[in-house]
Amino acid sequence: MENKRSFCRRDFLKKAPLALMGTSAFPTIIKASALGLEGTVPPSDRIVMAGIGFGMQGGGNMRSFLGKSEVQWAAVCDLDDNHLREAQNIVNESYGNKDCAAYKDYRELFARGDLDAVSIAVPDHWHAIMSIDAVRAGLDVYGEKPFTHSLREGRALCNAIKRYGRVWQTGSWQRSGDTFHHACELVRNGRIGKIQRVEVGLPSGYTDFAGTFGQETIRRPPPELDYETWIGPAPYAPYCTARVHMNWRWNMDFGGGQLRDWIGHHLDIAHWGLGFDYTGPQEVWGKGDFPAAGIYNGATRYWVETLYADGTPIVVAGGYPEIQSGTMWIGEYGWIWVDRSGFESQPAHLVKETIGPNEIRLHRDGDHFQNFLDCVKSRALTIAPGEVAHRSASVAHLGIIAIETGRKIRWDPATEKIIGDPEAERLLSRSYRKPYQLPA
Amino acid sequence: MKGAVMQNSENCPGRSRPLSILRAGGVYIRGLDYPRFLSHILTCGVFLLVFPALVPAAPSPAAQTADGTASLEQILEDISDYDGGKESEAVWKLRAYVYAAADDPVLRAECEMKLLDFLKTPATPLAKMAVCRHLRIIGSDRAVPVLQAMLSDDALNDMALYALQKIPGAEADKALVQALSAASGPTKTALIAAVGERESALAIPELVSLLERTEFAGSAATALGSIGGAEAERALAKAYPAAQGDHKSAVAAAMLQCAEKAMTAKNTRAAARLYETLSADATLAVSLRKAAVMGRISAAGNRGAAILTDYLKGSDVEMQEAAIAGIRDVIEPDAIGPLCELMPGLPESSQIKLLAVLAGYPKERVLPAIIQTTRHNSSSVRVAAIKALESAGDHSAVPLLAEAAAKTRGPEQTAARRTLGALKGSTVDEAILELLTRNPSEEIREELILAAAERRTFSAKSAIAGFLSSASPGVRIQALRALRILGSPSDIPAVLNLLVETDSLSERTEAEITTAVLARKTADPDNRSNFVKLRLATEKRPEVSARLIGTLPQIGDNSALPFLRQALRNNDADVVDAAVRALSSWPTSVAREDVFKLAEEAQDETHRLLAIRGFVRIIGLEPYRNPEAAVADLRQAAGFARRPEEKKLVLGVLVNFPCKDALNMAEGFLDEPMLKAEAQSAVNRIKQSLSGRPIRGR
Repeated sequence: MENKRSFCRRDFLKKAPLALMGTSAFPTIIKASALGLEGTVPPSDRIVMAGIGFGMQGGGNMRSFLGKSEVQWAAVCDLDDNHLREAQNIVNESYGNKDCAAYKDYRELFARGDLDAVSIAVPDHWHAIMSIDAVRAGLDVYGEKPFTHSLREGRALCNAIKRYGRVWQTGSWQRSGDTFHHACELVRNGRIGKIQRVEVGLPSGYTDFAGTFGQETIRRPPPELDYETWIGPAPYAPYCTARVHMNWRWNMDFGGGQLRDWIGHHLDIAHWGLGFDYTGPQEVWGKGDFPAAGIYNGATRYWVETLYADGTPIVVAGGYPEIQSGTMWIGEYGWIWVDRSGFESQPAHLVKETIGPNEIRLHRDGDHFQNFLDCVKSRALTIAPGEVAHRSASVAHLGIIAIETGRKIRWDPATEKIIGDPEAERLLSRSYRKPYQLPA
Repeated sequence: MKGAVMQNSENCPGRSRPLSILRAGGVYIRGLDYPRFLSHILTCGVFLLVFPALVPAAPSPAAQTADGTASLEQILEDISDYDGGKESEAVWKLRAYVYAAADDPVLRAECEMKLLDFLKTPATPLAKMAVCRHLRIIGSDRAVPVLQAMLSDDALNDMALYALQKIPGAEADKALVQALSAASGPTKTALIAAVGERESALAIPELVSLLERTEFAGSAATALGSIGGAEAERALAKAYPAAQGDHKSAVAAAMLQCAEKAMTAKNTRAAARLYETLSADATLAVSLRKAAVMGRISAAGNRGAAILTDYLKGSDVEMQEAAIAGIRDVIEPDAIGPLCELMPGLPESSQIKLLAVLAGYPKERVLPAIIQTTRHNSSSVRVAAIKALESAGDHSAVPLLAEAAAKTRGPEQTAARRTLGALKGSTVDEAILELLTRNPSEEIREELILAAAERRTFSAKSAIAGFLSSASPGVRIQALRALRILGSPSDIPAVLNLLVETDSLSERTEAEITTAVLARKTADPDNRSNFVKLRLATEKRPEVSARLIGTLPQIGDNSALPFLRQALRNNDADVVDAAVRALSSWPTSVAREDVFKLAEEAQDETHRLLAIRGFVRIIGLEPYRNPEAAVADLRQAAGFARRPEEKKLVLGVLVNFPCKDALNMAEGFLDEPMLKAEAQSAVNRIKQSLSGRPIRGR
């Protein structure tokens, strides 16, 4: 990009990191497209990107960006050598060279100085520290949901994004889907009248993404994984296979169970339809079921009721058949339901109704990744900016606190303080393991 | 125990006390402040749904607390060798116990003391961590000395801090500051972070002294930034000039944080001082300096606009970006004009950013500058300008947008089309209609028709229907597409005219779709094909009749089936072929017998195959049928089939009717080599359905 920090690729090569793995010092074959030939974007206009975390979502995100002509993917970063090598190979195969640099320490990646943006898809407990470091380093971020692991972290990250003027896109990609967008526009334009109640159905139980369920015997971490850093700011827990890759999300020290894992999708859509992108509930009450043993401790079944300032209640539930997966707005004159598997309404014809130019039109962008890249250039707000993601995640944070304390939580969404419950207030953040500190 | 679920108070009291908590020493319901919530639930009809879950509340923790002391001791004994792995049952029991005790002051105090005593035992660190998790929530001043003592033990200080950091009050503050001054290495850093997160003013002197110690200076600066206030500001500003490298960045970031706090406290002078120091330092990292520039602009009050303009006029694109980001904060709508005038002198990247900001300003102030920029040499800038018109444009932008949509491709065309469709106001609709009827080029007319449809400009319908007879194929096709949205059944005759007259296959396809869409707008389902039937009744040309018949399955009006049956007996091969195809693709099961008969009797091999496929498809349309009857039909279909392809189709539908007959039928195909894989898959799925187990979704 034209305004890239004054740092040329030669400078970059001089500063090649110590942790550079399996990369050659000099570029080998450079595809014509990388030289701006074939009518593609010239290197000076490219958005130079890197990715951190390739155990699950990061790989798919990177592939989507690799398909964009304006993106030059320069580096990958992961604490697991296997993931790192695999991601590096994908980039090198895509470009037909061996130029993709590989890092285990994200701080070295940020210190390169030639990056415009970074895609972050790491366990939740690392989101805030890493993301604040990224925006402070002047990078725009495509970050996976949930926004952060705690409410206080979320506010700190929002402040940092604003402070450093960075562009943030959350991986809440449903916003870029046509049916979700249309459903929200219908609701926002009053097609079902005033909203009486919203139901948000999320998954329940745990999903064995990594095929490691039951492998809970404590043992030495494998040599390819920097486990000490993987644990990072979270309370220390000895290594066992079931604790790490993909399934970390079922333990509340690293993830947030299905509730926090999915809140950035269907609740985010509920907020969008209601115009609640920049606010939150005033009351939250919840209950949950938990396993009686094992290393996972996220709620396997949960019911969270919230009440917003205008009297709208939103129920977020997982494992209750009466709450259908997806988002359902129930209004005075009917309902609208949308999920990845369908889009229905009562009356049925509503889903086919169109929104005219003189009605409320929501941000529309059919390609979540392209929207991020466009905003990196224009500095406009993305379709899923940080503040919005924080407000979605807040509902899960508060729901978890309500379940934890067994009490209704009164919340002031303007000041982001719990009212009249100092004990619950303690759960808005947690201390980090030494020597970690939330950066400014 | 593994795999069991705690969902009631017997195992986990804290989990199941949604609205009421039964207490020791008598029963009372907590949460009498819930009437609004309950009323709301009732209003929404949720209560009956939720009530069963609420009523059987937890048995009283009193029952547990009656023997609670012994229980807690036992739990703590069980937990004492916990290693963090699968043997975690005691961890869960502890959690349940603490939650049950937490709401009773006496039980809670007893529980806290026992947990604190446990921390002094030789239990494993992970067991103590499990205990500290609860002290984090229920810990009081009583816990402070015990936790403070643990801070000097490197193996225990993380967990001690985990609890202590969250205990409110001066005692904990004091303990943390004392520990901070005595600690070293990473523990000191953790304590610095802790006092910062607590925003502990008591810690400021200690933190200030640490600004001079290289290994802790960055952390101390960050903590001071979190605390904020005049003392922290002074210390940071004093440390800044001598700071180097990462330390300098940390101090600068902390100063930015202090400045924000000062702004929140309406102390703009203090904020401005900090921002000015940082923004003036050309050696500061660009990202931090940009942040300082943005802050400086917003803290400058009336001078903000002038400062911002200076940066915009400068040659540093990074600082231009910072200035553009500050426009919304300091430039009033009436004052945006002068910044618009700077547009042509800015580099392309800055123009793109400025356009995104101008889009939020009143159109009367910014529209000329944006329209001017739509003529820029750079495609990226033009796209940005077109996008800005979406909110800042009006009817005057219609001609240029239509032209851009017609004459460009890729992102520019996409942006122009989107903006043309989204511009607000009825005057835009009028401008589109006016331009449409004037005599634009074919390409522009196509775009205007597209926009009218996108905008639901129903006033343009007559004009668009008139374009069905246009000489331009592109215009005709766009008109056909637009009528699907804007048209009504009364437009069908004109569409049929085009359908029967065109030589273009694609145009014919479009006309068929439009006919069907318009026909489906007829309220009575049995009258939807009236226009087509009327035309068929008088049509003498067989090839035209065939085309008309082709529209019927898409309309799906069952009252047209007699026409198709009659057409099967027509002397013209084209008409018969069209009728076979129409019946074979009929969308409802009413045609099942017709298609079965075709499959049984058709002499033409193509027709026979079409009919077999149609028959199998129609059977699949009725998943609610008696499965044995559906299987009997599928068995007949399989009997007609000669090729494996059709038999595979049969197997594909067979799984939707799980019954013994279906299983027998699928197993009958296992011996056929070409079908073995599909047959095995069908057998498995039918068996799974019959066993009552859910089939995993894709």
